[in-house]
Amino acid sequence: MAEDLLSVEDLRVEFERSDGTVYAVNGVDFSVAPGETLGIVGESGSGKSVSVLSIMGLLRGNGQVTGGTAKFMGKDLLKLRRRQLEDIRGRDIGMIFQDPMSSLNPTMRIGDQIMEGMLAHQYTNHKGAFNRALQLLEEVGIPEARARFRSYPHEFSGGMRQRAMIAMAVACEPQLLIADEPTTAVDVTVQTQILVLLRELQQKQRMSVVLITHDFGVATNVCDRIIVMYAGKVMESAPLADFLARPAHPYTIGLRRSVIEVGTQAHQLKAIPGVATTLMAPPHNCPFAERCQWVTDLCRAEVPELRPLSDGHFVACHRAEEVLAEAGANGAERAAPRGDGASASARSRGAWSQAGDEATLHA
Amino acid sequence: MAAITATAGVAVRAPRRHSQLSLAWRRYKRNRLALAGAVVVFVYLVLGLIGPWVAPQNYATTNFLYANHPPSLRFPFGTDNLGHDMLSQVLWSMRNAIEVTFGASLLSLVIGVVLGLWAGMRGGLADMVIMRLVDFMFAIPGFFLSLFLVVAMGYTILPVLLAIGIPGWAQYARLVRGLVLGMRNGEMVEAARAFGASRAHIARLYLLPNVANSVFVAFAFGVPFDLIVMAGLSVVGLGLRPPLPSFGNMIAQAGTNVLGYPWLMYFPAAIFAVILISFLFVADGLQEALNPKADEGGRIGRQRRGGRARRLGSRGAF
Repeated sequence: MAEDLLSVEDLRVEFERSDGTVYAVNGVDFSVAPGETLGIVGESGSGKSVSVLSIMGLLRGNGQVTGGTAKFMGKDLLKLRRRQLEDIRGRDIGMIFQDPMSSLNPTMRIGDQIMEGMLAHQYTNHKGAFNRALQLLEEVGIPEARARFRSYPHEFSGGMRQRAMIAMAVACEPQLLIADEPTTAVDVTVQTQILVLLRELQQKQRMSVVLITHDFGVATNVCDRIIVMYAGKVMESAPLADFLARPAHPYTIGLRRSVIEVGTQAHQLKAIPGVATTLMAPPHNCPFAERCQWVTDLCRAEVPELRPLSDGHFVACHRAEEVLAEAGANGAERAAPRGDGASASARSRGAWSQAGDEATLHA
Repeated sequence: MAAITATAGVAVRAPRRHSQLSLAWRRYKRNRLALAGAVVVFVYLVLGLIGPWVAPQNYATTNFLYANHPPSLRFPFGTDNLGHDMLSQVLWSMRNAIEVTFGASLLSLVIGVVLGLWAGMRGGLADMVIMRLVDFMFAIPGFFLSLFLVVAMGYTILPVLLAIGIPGWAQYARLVRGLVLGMRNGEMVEAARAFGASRAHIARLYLLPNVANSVFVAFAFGVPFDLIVMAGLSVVGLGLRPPLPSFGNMIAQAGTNVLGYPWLMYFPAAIFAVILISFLFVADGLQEALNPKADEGGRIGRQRRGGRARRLGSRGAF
């Protein structure tokens, strides 16, 4: 795997809180090949955003990386100094955030904000940056680019702001684009447009993309490979086809069953019982054990390692083979109609992150 | 994809909207008192600027034959016991007051904004040291610090300006630090860092412009406050030293014989009061115009007016 663009190994992140240490990320490994789209899926608090923010050096406040490496183009991002990291951020790694409403500077014109990154990284001169900004605005689908160049963010709608954010993120033609829940804060129609746009840009600029989402529909729609995270650990990692046809982790299967599609009746849904846990100590057993229907004594005693199930398909479950045999076929059944195409994401704009809460409400 | 873009394009095309500044002006205009205050402040600034040239006499000129002369055509505001023409004194006072108060407020603002940005942005030790200094400034009365500084530095324009300006920075520092803390961990700064912006860049182009409105409002309140401090220093004899005229000097000297020569009190005190209250109206109007969120429900005029009266009342008590 020497040719990986980004390869993260054994990443650990902790947060100091007044009531103790929160173990947010507990030994995460993943890698992104050039041109690949990696989806990281998980509930709120599963550590998916934190792991990516930490390798970018963007952890806020009391968060701290306590271990691991993150090799990007031969350099360990976790060991770089601040200035070196600032150099890489925005030039080699672009980033899009969840809420375009609050991510743009309200006092700066849209065009200037797009030019800013290019000028800061000396990607091109002022004239070149201006022309590229105009071209980018058109590429991301903002009409009347010349007039919009001089607009302020408050004159833009949510979808247009997200487009502007994307333009900023890809301005310097980064090798890697990290999208942290880019479609969570926008309408479903805009969501589809944004995803199509991301895919277009990725193909045009030959970027790798890491897409963080809690929405299975979005992930299965655009990703080549999907990682499922829970309690700061990777539960399952599989290429899209395997992921759809042969999910082998109870949590993955539980998530898939919680997805609400158009026409799904409440009694057809099967929510995962309990709520996602926050680890106040390093995991000493399978973090999913107490919510798992396949749980055994082994699960309560030992942390399952992430192990290969088949080529490129990794699972962290003591009973993955049995789970696959028992429920895999079932899962494949549900996966079949979902296939691909832009409409899938709109259909399954996932509410499954709330499914756990609903279950406790009904209980 | 092209089709999607095209439809999106039609949907999002909006009429040209008004700039933030013109919207703020529109909100400001609705407030009659603020508008009137702005007119007075404008006249005050113009008179302060041209005062020395239109004043009938130099501030130091005395007319012994006309000492304590009541208001007349020749001396519209009367004269004092040395025969100073009070109109000229008032006009020169305006010039001095503008120089001192605007200079002092600007000085406070610059020190306060720089330290506030620094404290909020860097956090840690810098934040702690600066904020303890702020606590210190709030703990000791600024007026006494001004007194000491005047005694130490002297009684002309620049020392008085420094004496008033230096103790005033803590307000701005605290305001700016608070706003910066609110933004520092926000999405905007995170996004800026994500594209590789340095700390200095974020402070200059992201944080500073976003606190400018609030700082400007604080400045508008700071100028009349400094005007009061300046007059207060004169009243206790530690302001601009006569013959340099100032409102405080005139009012303090008139007090000794207010029954005999009341015009010496009426004109300077009335003009001073009008200027002061106009500044406060302007500052209040700016606050409403620039921070509309702090004054939600502004559509109901009566409620708003009530709110304003209450706030002014409390300030008057102070």
